[in-house]
Amino acid sequence: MAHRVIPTSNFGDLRVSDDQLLHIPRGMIGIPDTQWLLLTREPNSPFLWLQSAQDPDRALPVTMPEVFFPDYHLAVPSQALDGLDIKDSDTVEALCVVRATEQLADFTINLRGPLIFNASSRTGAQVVTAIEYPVQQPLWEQRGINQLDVTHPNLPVIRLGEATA
Amino acid sequence: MLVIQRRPEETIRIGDDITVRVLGIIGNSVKIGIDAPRSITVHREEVYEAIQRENEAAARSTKRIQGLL
Repeated sequence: MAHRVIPTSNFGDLRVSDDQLLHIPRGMIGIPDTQWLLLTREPNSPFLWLQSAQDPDRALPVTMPEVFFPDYHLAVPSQALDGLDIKDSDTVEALCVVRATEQLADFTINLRGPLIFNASSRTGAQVVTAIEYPVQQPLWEQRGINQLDVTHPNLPVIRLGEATA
Repeated sequence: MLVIQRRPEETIRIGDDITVRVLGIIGNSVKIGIDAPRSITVHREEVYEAIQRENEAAARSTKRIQGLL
């Protein structure tokens, strides 16, 4: 498997293999980058970094919405998933963008515009849910930090410190 | 952009299976009814703008908090 070095402003140079790249062919809403990496500092961290493989400066905190909102219902019109080629046997993973501030208590999560990935092809899209969830949902409304049951998505998650070039 | 003038209760058809009907006009607001297959996504433009704002805000916060997460 071919390796490459992805430079990042916040996490140094990352040495990754091609099968660790996530593909978002249409880009995120308002962000054109199509190749991304998923980074973490800790194996059980509820927060991951979605780092652009094309723009070293661009990284967004993301999380698994069901960790904080167990009732989160991913109702998405089928057209929004065009191009992800999701078959019955494929695992679908959702990530939501987190608006992080200096105070953990003030974090919000965008439940309206999740990223949906086909785990088999590592290909995803940012979609708009059919249910009118808030784009700035206070993160800690249902679960405290000690109540989280964190499972990372079935996608390549790069542990920071291990992939530093 | 195609510009079409319509009166209340008149309809525009897009493709074979999407219709857009002007249901009424009150003051400076227009009520629109859209009939489309379930597979077609219809959202207010503001939703996309709000999601774009959250993406940009999340990306801006990275430098400040990257040691935290």
